[in-house]
Amino acid sequence: MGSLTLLAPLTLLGLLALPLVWWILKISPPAPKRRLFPPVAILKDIVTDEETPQGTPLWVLLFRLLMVALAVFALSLPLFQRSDELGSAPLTLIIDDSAASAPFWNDMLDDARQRLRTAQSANQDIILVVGETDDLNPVPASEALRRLRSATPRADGGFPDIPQLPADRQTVFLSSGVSFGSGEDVTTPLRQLDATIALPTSTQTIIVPGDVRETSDGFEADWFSATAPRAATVEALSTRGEVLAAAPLTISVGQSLGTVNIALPPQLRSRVTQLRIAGMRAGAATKLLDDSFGRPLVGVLAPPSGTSSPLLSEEFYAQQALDPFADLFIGDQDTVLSLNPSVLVMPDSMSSSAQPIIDYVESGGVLIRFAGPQLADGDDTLSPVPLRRGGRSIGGALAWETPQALAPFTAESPFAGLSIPEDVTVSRQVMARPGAETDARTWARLEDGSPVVTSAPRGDGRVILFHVTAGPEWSNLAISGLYVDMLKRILPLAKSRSVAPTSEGGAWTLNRVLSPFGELRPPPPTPVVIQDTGWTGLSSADYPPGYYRSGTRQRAIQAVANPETIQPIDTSGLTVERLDGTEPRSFAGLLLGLALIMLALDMLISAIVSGRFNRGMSFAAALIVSFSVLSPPPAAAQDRISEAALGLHLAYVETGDVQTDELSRVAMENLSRELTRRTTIEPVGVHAVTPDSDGLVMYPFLYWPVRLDTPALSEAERLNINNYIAAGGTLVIDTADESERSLRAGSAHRGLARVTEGLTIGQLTTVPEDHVLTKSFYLTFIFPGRWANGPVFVERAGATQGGRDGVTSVIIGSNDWAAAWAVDPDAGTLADLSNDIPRQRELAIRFGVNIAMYALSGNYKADQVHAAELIRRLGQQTP
Amino acid sequence: MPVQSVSPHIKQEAGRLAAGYPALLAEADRVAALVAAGVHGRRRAGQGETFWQYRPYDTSDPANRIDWRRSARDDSVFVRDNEWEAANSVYIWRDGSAGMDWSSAKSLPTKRDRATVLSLATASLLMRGGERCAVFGESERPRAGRVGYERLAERLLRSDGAIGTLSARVPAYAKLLIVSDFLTDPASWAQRLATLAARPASGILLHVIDPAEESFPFKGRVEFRTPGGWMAPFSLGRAERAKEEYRQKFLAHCARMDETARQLGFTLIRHRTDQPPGPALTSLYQAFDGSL
Repeated sequence: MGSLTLLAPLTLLGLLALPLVWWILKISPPAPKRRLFPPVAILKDIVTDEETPQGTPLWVLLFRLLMVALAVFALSLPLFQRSDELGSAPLTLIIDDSAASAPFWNDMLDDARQRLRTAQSANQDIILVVGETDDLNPVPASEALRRLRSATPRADGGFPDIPQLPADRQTVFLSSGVSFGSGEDVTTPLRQLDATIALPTSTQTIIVPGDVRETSDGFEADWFSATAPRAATVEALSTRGEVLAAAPLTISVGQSLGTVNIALPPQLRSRVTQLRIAGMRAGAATKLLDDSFGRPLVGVLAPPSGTSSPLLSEEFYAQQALDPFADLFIGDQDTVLSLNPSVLVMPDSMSSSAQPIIDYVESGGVLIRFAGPQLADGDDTLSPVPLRRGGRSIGGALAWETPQALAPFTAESPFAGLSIPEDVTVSRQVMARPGAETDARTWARLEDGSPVVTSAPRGDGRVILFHVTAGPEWSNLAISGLYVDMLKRILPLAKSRSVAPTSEGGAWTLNRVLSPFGELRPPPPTPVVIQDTGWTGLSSADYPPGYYRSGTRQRAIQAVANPETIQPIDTSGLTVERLDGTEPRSFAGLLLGLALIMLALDMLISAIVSGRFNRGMSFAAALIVSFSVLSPPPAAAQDRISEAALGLHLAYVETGDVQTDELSRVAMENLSRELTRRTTIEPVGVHAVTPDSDGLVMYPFLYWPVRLDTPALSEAERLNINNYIAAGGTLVIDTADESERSLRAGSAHRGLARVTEGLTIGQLTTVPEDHVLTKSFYLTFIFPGRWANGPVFVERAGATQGGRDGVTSVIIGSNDWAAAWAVDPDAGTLADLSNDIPRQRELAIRFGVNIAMYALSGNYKADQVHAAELIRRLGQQTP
Repeated sequence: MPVQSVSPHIKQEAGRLAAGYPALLAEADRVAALVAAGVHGRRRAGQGETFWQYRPYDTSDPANRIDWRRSARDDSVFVRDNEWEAANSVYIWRDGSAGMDWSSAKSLPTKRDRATVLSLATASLLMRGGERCAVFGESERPRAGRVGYERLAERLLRSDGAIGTLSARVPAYAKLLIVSDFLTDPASWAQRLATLAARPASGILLHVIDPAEESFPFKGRVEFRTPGGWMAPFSLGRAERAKEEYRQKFLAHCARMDETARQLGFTLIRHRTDQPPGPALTSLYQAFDGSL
């Protein structure tokens, strides 16, 4: 299937030198062994036969010849590449740039690149169809490669159009493997072209989100996949990108739909803004949750003017109960209804059955009413059950009965399972007329059986009536915890309600864009506005998926509007290949490496042959061998952990690069010394750890040099590091590339992006001027290392998770702190500094001291220690 | 020790020697104990303290030698003879050249160490036997007894054993013990020994050989150097080819030493350092026993 191509075949002429090498090896004697021997006087008369060289053993000779041959072969730059397209018809390459391609976009590009290179080596012109292009003329492969570089998948759910293409070319379609109902539009023209289709592996294809529904203990979400069975993990993220919950998703054989249940307490549930498939970087695999989910918009009707005694006002209690779980808007009927809340709370004083409210309910709103004198007296149509005029007073001074407690909730009631405090009693209520309908509509009763909460659907909406007041006048229910729980149970009922367009609703402006790879980005400079009436909820090139905002409200457009139509591409009549994305593989490096290893072995061999392989050498060799097959003994790890548990150790993460690790080690050792010298922190030693080391929690912080080539973390490593962060650890990540940072031109640091992928790091910000890091031991404004000007990032205040007490879980910078800290007591400084500022090394060490102090004492230094200085600083800020 | 000022180097050297001293001395004592036979008389009448015999008075005897108590028991007059216990002086020379301070394997003692052990052990035996010993060319006079042995041992351990000391003055008819590998300038040994024999003096040559010197276990391309570097290095392209020739030369060297010793009246004893020192010591002791 493959062929070997030599990019520099003339180098093979170097093989002609092999006989020469043979000859030289044969004639040149090995270096003489030196021996002390007293009877030289006797020996010296001996005239041996000619100074014949000791013949090199044949196997050594062959070994060395092989070594030279390998090196020569490596220098001829051999490439292994697929050759099946070589020599065939010129290539037409169509790339499916739909949103479903995003998870394996790089593989796709690699595959495309490889095909283009193959075509390039065959000197073909190529028709490349990717993105919104109408250029269907064949272009040189280099031009096509250039265009490929700027290609990105679409953000929206659109599908590529197959233009009219010449049939005499070999057509290859790189497909995402799925389509949303429109697969035939693509495959039919392809069949006519007799095309080849390249599909991703079935475990790579996209999983798209469907509906999200509230359940009693959390919510459930539908996910669709074209291939089954699938297993994945769904993560629920907050605005700041923290993973609040994760749950396994299984889609069984023969189905395209899988439902994942995520149990979350309401406080956390209201913070979920995004669902995504873990490890699948795609906008199409991300569900954006807007106002229709999470914190519902609750309107509370209240008298227009504020009252002088707010604690006695009716809406106050409903407001207090709902505030933790909902966004509340308080106002009169017109104001509140214009916001189109999902729940409307109507205290008795605001009782009204005006037409707008009836319209609101019938168009799907949830109305929570409370009883009171007005309702008891009036005749009201907006009531779930017919009411008796007047109301009932229990336990008054002139009544026989005592105030009634609540009866346990029945299983049909949405309140089922709530525990009822014994001291909740009802002394007045409005009475429902008895009847079968009333019974069915009752959600809660008193102990004597009279309904206290009733509810009935009305139109698309629902009316819920509390037969007591919203405040404590008629019952102390309003001041019990049960009241809060009951309202909480009611809120999800409003969730499935869609936000209806209103003509006066105004326009929706794009606020955050969902990128094809699933990140939320700032909107483009030109505002994207959708008129409320023109709202379709469908993404398109003009209206990219993301969050749209209108006033305080927010709506989302999902990348894929019709996830349930997902289906695999019909490949019948097409030649099927897999996207393998194998670039032509060069063996040069491998072979050269092999030749170098052989060279190293050869030294050992010649040492053995010449007999200089004494004990020191064998020790060194054993050392090398043991290093090459190094697997850290578990006992050593155990020792390290118990050592770290018994005394404070600084730790750095080993990168595998000896130079970096050595620098880190010396830096940490020097930092330990400086800490001991300057502060009460007296580290006992320095440990090298790896991201999957046990017992990371023993270290206050991990110094982690991350380079461009640092590989991504494995699942276990990620878990381990996340545990470390969750346990309160701080990562000091140093990319040490301040000098090249500007060259990246704002693009992400690849190594850093790989390493931090999946770590629970909150939103970052540059170190604010009042951050504890600037004053945990020394007062310092700058954080220099080898360079002094690089920005340093920490978690935004408040972005840290609970329990961290405001201490950032990560300090990220590019100043190469290790270079500045690395001072060896014997050898002196290990690295030169750029000396952007005077006393840079001293200031760098001060920053190191601050980091250690910060990691150990947390936000303790946030307060008074430097009060005087802080006040002076404050004074400077506001002159 | 009357050392006024010692350079650090000498101090170190002294330390090294002092460290070796008890070990070598103990080794010498241990080896000597295997052979020790106590005071040995000369088995004939002479000067001594031990009774040997009564014999009839001869007119040449002075009158004060008559043993009156024995004579009173008989008619004849008797003279009391004691056993002759005359002590001889043995001069010990141990070669201390750089070539002696070498062993072919770590498990073997250097030739110098073995030579020192055997010299001291012999001296120990001889001095217990009542002889007097001295380090050739370095001790001012031969000494006897326990204290004499200590001083001899101390001096021998510190002795450089330089070739030049062999030309020191030695009393006529002295007994010599020369311990060496006879490899430093081999041809000149006959000349040196002849000079000694002309004193006249005679004695025992102990030829100490490292096994590698005999077996020549070298292979491949080897550059040979002398310890101390007194000769230019010598390279062999294929050492194993030279083995036979070397062995013949070495045997010839031994034979020449045998011949020289025989001609000059020395007894030559050969000892290889991979063999225990006991047998060599026995031979040495017997050789002395015969010649004294």
